[in-house]
Amino acid sequence: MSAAFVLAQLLNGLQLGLMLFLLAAGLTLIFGIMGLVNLAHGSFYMIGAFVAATLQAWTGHFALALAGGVGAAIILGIAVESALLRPLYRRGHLDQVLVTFGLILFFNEATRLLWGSGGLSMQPPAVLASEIQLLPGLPYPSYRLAISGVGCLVVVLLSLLLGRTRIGMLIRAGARDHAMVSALGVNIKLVYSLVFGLGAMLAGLAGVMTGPIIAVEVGMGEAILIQTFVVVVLGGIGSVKGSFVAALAVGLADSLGRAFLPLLLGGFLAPTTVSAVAPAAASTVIYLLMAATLLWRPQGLLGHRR
Amino acid sequence: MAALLEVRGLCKTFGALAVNQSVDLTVEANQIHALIGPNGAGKTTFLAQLAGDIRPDAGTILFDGTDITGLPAHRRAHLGIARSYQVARLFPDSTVHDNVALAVQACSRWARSVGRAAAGIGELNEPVAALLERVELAHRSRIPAGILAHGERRKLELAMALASRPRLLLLDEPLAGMGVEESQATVALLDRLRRDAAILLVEHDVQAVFALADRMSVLVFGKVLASGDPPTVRRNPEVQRAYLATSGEVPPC
Amino acid sequence: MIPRRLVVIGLIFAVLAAVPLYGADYYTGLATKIMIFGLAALGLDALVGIGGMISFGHAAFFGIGAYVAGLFGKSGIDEGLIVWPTAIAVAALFGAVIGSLSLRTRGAAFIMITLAFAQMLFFIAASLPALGTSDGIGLPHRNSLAGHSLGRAVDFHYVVLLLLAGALALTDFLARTPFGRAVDGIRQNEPRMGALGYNPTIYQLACFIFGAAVTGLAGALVANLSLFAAPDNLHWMTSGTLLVIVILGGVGSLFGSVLGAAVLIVLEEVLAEVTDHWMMILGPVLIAVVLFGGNGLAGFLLRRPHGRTS
Ligand SMILES: Nc1ncnc2c1ncn2[C@@H]1O[C@H](COP(=O)(O)OP(=O)(O)OP(=O)(O)O)[C@@H](O)[C@H]1O
Ligand SMILES: [Mg+2]
Repeated sequence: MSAAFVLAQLLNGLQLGLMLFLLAAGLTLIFGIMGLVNLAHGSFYMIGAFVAATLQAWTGHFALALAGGVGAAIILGIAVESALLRPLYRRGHLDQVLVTFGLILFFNEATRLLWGSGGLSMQPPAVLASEIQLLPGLPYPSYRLAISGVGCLVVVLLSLLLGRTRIGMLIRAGARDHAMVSALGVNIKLVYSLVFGLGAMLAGLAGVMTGPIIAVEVGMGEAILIQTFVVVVLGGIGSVKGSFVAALAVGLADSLGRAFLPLLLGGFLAPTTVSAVAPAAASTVIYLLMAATLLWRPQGLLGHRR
Repeated sequence: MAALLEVRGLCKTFGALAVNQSVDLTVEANQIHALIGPNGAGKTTFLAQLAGDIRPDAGTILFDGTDITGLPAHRRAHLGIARSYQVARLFPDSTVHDNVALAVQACSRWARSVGRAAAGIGELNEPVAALLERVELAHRSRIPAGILAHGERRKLELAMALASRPRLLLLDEPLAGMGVEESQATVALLDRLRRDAAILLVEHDVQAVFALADRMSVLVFGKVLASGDPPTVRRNPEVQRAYLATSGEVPPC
Repeated sequence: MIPRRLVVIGLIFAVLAAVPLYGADYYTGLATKIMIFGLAALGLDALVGIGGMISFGHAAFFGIGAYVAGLFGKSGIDEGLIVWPTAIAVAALFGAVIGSLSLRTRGAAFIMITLAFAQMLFFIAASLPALGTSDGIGLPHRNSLAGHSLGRAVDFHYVVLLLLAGALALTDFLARTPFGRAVDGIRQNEPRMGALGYNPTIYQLACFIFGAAVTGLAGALVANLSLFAAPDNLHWMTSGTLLVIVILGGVGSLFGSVLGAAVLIVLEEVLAEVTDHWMMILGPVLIAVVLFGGNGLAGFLLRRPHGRTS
């Protein structure tokens, strides 16, 4: 096993972690501020990817696709929030879960109706289509690096927004302690739309960015949503910083688990057994990480206890 | 003899608000210890920490010599601490009888209670009736707790707290909302309870406090201003000043 | 006078018992499916409606029951008296592990964690060759009961009917015991129950395990109905479906689960006739029911709900 291979896996993990963070940040803020458990958060991720893939197929421009995909996610997010979800904030979790589950059913089927069930594919922009030589003997897709770059940029912008601006600090305080929400000021509805729009935007952005390296298909939203839940719980509900740490941990654990578990198991199992067991074992890594964290810190890494 | 309850240096802050600042307090067995103080002084928060509903930031709580600071609420209940709430916390849809039954049943081990099943519910009737008799609610036992009058809820809270035969009762304004007669009857009941349990009594009704308390402490802005036997505390100039400054009331001398 | 609730339950079971007498095998199969999903949702209703624990991963136990039946089928054991209790026991065991981890938290985190653990089991089932990967495991034929074949749809139907009735009676009974009342009290006000001396986690865990066991039995039965144990049984969509059945039927009503299953399954059949994209209709219908529907069908039939969510 070469150092180059390890480095490549670390980069893959970083990239997955950053994308998970984009979803988790929105989800955790929405729960923190509005008290809403939003199962349909993955739908914004899916819509972003579908709209972007379509725009790219029409125009051939990645930048246009990016803007369109993110824009569609924002518009959909704000529309859903103000039309449907607002009355849910004061209701119990059960109602929230069921309504947002209903939304998933609707969005998934509507997507199937509009785009068919075959799924779409997206290409990276031409300038990033090649591989670059990171180290001697380590070619790495430059687009994957670009994803991580965009992810890092968002992390910086988000931390400036939440740490340096007045509204951002209020939002962060409100997310950590629900009682603080009343201190957010008179125009609470605007804050709700803002936070939800921000969350949808980040999810849409993640969808567009991930589009070229995965299959754009119905159900992609829920696959990543469940991983995002692991991140949110691991980081501590309501804590953006916690989500960041947890997202990187989950991203790395997943990538490294998939790469190294077969090698590890190969140490004491027959090759046929390894190829039978390894995929199952690799997909459980992040859930075991979650279970261990629950035993050790039920409130999550940076969550706080009553 | 060691005190039944000994609290040392209890601290609790909510955000920037220091609600309890290094509170020391001891309650002797079979005594009524009154805890008074103006609104927002941190009395309810203090009781909640003793009962285990809120975790203190610092300090220790000793009950009968053992450190219970980190114990969950139900373990403290098993040790003999019971609590009534300032805002009555009942099960509004259940009847008065069923509310008390729930409290009585808590004292039996849970595994047995599964097996006892439906017949077991009848078994609870006797102790429930006795408790309701004690707080003079027997005539209301079949109505839902949610429609009780204010003072009656207080009595029901008290009955539920008594169900476990506690050694220490934490009572948060048990007389609030009661009429004169109800209030007198409850004071008499508390007076009798002294034989079975120690009571930490948070109460604004000054007359009742002075009628009942063996010792008292005054909490102002989260700090204990004075502690001792009632006449001494009453004469304490700091206490008088604090009361004048914050609420305008003077403890009657 | 007989309580209205018992009358309604009696009517439901009378209808279910009458289906094979008047309907074709297709309708009998449909009714059996309704009962099995009703049973699965009954286990979830014990959690949600009585215990106040919102699990979005309850399909885990449905799938576990199905796979137990599938694995037995593969190894040639088809006696229901062996297969079904084993399914119950294995589901309960998994319930104990998943429940005790998930109950380290409450509220929103609990929802997410139960979903995550179910997803983990889904991935395992979908990738382990021993479990047939994404193809699942086929059953050669239906389980027998004490040596009697249940190959005829009618026989299987009545066995499921009896199991459902038994499970419903047992759940109802337990809900009225001191234990059930304590669980119900914890749902209403957990800190209060703690102060009274109850250890909320232990009661909730017991309730969780019970719900898992009931749904595990339903899983073994569904594998018998379709002669198949598939990863789909563990899929989050199935978890969502079970929750939908519970809310359609009326949270905490227990018997409502059967009604909810009937409505959902019949609606599915009817809508699927009309359009391939019937989920586009189901989604908004579900949203409308949650927002404006009161306490489900049971609430509508009884007008005095037995339990409610906080
Ligand atoms: N969970 C909480 N979060 C934030 N602040 C709180 C919380 N609970 C209480 N407080 C604040 O702590 C202070 C003390 O409250 P507490 O209820 O202990 O006072 P108290 O002495 O019981 O008053 P009262 O006589 O009115 O019952 C109050 O200012 C209250 O607003
Ligand atoms: Mg108070």
